[in-house]
Amino acid sequence: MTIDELLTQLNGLSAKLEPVASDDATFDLQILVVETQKQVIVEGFSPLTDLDALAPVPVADLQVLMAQVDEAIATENKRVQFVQTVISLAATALKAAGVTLPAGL
Amino acid sequence: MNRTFPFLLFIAISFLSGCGTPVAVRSLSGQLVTTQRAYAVSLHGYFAAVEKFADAQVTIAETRIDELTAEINRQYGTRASASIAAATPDQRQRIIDQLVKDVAANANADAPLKQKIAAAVASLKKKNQELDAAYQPIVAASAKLDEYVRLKKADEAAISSLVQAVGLNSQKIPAIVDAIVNLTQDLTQTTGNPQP
Repeated sequence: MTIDELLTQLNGLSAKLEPVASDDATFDLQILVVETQKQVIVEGFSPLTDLDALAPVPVADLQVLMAQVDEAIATENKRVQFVQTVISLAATALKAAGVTLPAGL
Repeated sequence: MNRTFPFLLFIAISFLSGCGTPVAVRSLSGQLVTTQRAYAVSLHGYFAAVEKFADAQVTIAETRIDELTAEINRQYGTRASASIAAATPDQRQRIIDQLVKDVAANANADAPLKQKIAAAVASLKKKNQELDAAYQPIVAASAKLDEYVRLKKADEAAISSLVQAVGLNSQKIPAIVDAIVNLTQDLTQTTGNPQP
């Protein structure tokens, strides 16, 4: 039974008891019905408290791996510089050997 | 010009066809970062809207609780009024004292309920902030990967030098490579599936 169904039944019971029950019993039941209505309102927010149980997103590893990619980028830049140096040296050597090279080299 | 040019071009294209990052991969990588950045902005706005909605719901809930509390107090008052008419002065004082006690207890009972609602909404906001904050390193990681994908690699540097030597715009190389790949596929199909 949901809390809404319970509330509906309590309201029905309160209406039935009103003509026959004592004033105190009816009064207590009516108070109980209104208190239950308050609880229904509060319970409407309860699913939000389940959010605390959700596991946090693991992003710490990303920071570490990003640093490693930074290193890989630096290494690749050095390799590029190295390749360009090798090509430049090779071009110089070929020119020195008398080989005609294109203007770009 | 001499026979060196076609030779260099051949080396460059051969090199490029086996190395480097395909244009489609670079495009996807760049677009992924753009999309994730846009998503982060949308996510931020979404969380803000949800939080405003939650705050409005809190106001409505608290107002409703206050109304219900007032209803209970009215019922206490009605009962006290009914009892007080036929009561002795001593009994009247006890009824009034009881009424004051009931009303105070009724009002105090609301505080934990409102605190529970506030705590629930605080959980929502905390989780929103956590998710919002967690998405920033995800976008940063994508951007970092994109930086690497777009990075001029050593083999591409070699090709670039050779291509410059033959006076070819390096941006045209992918199109040339595509043409060579298509040509190769056509040749493969022709030789692999001879027509009767």
